Amino acid sequence: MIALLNEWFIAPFDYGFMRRAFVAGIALSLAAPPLGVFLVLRGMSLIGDAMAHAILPGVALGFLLAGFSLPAMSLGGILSGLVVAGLAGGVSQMSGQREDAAMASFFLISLAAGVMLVSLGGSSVDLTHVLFGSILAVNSSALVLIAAISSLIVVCLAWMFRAMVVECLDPLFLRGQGNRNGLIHGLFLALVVLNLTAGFQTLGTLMAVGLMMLPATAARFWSKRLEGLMAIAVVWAMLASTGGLLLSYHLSMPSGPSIIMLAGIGYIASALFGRHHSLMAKLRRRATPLEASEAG
Amino acid sequence: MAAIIGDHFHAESGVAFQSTCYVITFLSFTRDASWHTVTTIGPRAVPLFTDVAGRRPPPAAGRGAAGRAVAGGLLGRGLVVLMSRLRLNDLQLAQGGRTVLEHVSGSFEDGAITALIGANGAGKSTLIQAIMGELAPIKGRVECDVPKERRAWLPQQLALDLTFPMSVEELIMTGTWPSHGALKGYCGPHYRQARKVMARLGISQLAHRPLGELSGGQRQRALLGRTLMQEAELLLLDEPFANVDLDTVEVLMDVLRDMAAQGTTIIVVLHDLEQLSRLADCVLALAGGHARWSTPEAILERHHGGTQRHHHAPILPLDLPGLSP
Repeated sequence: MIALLNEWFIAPFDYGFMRRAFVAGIALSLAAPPLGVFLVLRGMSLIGDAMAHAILPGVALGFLLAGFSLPAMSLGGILSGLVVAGLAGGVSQMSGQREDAAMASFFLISLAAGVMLVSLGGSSVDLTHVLFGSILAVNSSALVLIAAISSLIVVCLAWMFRAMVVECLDPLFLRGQGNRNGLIHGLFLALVVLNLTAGFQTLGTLMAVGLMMLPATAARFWSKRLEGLMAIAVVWAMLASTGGLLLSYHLSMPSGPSIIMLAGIGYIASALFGRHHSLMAKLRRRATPLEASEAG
Repeated sequence: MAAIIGDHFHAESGVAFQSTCYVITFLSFTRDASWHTVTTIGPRAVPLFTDVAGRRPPPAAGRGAAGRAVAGGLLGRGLVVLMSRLRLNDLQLAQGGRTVLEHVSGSFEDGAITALIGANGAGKSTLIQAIMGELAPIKGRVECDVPKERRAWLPQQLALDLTFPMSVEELIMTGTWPSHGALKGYCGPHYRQARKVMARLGISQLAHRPLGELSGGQRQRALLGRTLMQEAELLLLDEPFANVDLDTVEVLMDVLRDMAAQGTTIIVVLHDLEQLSRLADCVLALAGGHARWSTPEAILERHHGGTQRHHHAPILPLDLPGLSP
């Protein structure tokens, strides 16, 4: 029994690349799901996807200028993500157009620029790498970068937690309090960009969104409290990234997609069997009797 | 097995840093979450309308019949009453290039409840937006001495996200924003004050109910609770009694009267004569792009030829004195 467990769960981590991939997955799982929870609550679930495309030209530019160097690509990604978020925010403030429309326009421009840059500079293999990542190729310096970025995200999120909650709930109230409305929103988008750049090395720009959104959307079926949502999402992201890693090792599947598939299976299962609003909960039709709820 | 895991992982960078950060975050998350456990510590009571430092809003200016006469008389001629922290100065307001209100002047007396009346589209909400500083006037000025964080606004159809996972108590605690901002931790007296606010509004039993499960009246009570917590000195309410049952109307009116007695300037959009006669000290009527100051008595007389109590009846804007086209 112990031998089997060892073979399945421990032995894979004899390899350095598996250990680094594991730690990278855990680090990302701490930072991404809380951001995803806020995105879901703000009705901005697709903004993560848009931002993932927006960081592509920066990554490609970093790749063209400095070769396959993670710091250069990350820096480029962060910059282009921030530029797109800033432009979208600016245009929607100026013209009164809804922000998602401006965001959609700019991320498409950005995506086209990114694909063009990648194909100018390299083969399609590089493009696949940028789009889908390879968690198994994370080296030590990449790991430090990922851990540092996700730590920064976690600390920032803790710092602005109450402001985020108030802004989500009632932006007018926060604006009435003399806070510049855009500040918290902008900071939040910046954190999303940071998180996606931390994730693109391991999961790729597209898959990085999955670790952010899927645990958060799944958690909505299990908890009605913000703290509960975040805790469930983080735990589920950790399980999915570790499990996906082991699956890809044993069944020799690509690592990024197997992590996201695992998180996605969790979402579908939650939608079917979760505690709140799921299919099961709809069919259950049970409620606490009046006396009991009055007493409680 | 633990030893194997330890051997494998303790050398990897990032883990320690990451877990420390996680602990910090977790503490910070739970700090806001465990309000109800802290509320029970310590028996010391805090008066309802004072903050922890014991600061009270300035006392009310003259109220009652004399106050009404002053407000009605002087304001009617556009003169400035001394005790006024909110003044309108020849205001012109527009929405999307179309002028909604012109030449609006006058001042709102401290500690008085001003009813804002007028037909739909007369510019009530526009005026409120301008007073809150959300809408820049085309011409003229809104002079407001109340600091921004002591102004409160209860919008009509609230921009409140009702699916947001938050309890009534947590909503009321966000009213401490002016004194606490985003970072400062809540402490015992604040939880006790929140308890008192909820008891005052009759929603103590709903403290831990999620916002999404509240009825319209309960939600209105909770929102007024937030402005109590905020110690608002200027309170604007846009049809606070719409879709609200009679009991809730009584409680809300009571609380509004108390707040006014403490010196809060209150402006409330009303459509109902009975509520107008019970609540308002003076009236600002809007019609045809112009504003006119009046008194509840004058409005009532115009409608019924007397000031006795009437059952709910709509206010007819075109009947307003001096506003007929």
